[in-house]
Amino acid sequence: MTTRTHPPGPPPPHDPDDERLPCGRMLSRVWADWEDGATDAHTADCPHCREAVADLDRLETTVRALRDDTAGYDAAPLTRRVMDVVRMELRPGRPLPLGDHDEDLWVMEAAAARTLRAAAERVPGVRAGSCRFAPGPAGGARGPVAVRIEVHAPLSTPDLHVLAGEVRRRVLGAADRLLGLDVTDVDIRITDLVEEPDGAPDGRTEGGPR
Amino acid sequence: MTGQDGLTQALANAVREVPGVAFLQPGMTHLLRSGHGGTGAGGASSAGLRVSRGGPGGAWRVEVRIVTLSGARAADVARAAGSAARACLASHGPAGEAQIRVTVTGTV
Repeated sequence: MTTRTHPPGPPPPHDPDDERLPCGRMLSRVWADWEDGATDAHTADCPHCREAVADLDRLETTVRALRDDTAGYDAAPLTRRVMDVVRMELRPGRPLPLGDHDEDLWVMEAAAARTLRAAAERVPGVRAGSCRFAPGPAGGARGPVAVRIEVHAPLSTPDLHVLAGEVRRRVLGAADRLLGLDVTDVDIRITDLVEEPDGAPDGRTEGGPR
Repeated sequence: MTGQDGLTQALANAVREVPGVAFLQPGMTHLLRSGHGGTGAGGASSAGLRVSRGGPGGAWRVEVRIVTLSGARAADVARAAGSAARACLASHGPAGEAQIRVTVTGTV
């Protein structure tokens, strides 16, 4: 099995919702690093980066307070959905074509990736990691795309090829039914085998690629 | 309010009505950075809908950015949003060619 690292790419230069901080770092990168726990000497010392992180923290607090105000209503999913929307705005990726080749409809890569990862995870025990898109063989901005998705599979899987086939079926189905994204290839990369949380012989819980 | 602001507002309202559209992209990063509470319920946040025209009498260009409901098919919602925007433009704006681009930026 091959593993490849996918270093986070910079947001598209024309993205109006990203911002370069006075220290030169992109806001999206500072937030992403903070979420991933990847701080470096710069972020520790830089007042701009620290302020950017404080802003994100404040947003989360505000959303949480909103939830607390609504007595008896569990809005934890709302919090997550709001933060998902913010994150997708910061790191949208590039637009992918929806519908027919002559239409002007698009879906941002981050949104499509989320949908396809969720579809892969409908296969029991599968945890999806990175989901990337590349132009398909036909090429062109409106042509079909190829998908590469990394997953963790359950250790107990008897036949990984069969599992990969099931994941591929789900991803293709979601691309068509939920998105309307024309996909030529789905490359499934099984990057790890993990213990399942229930019924594992030694009772360990499994971790996902996130 | 200039004519174009009214048109932008009308377009935003038309797109919001389309089944499967959760909301226009809120541009939350701008909201956060500016420290303000919100754009107002009726506003077309600049991130969600942009209208421009290539000179007087030139082609209209409308860019729509929407977040869709996860149960709906993104391409169908985007198509319907584009049709709604086109119909709104035809009835509110002066005549002219129009390019309407719809981008789905997320699902909820």
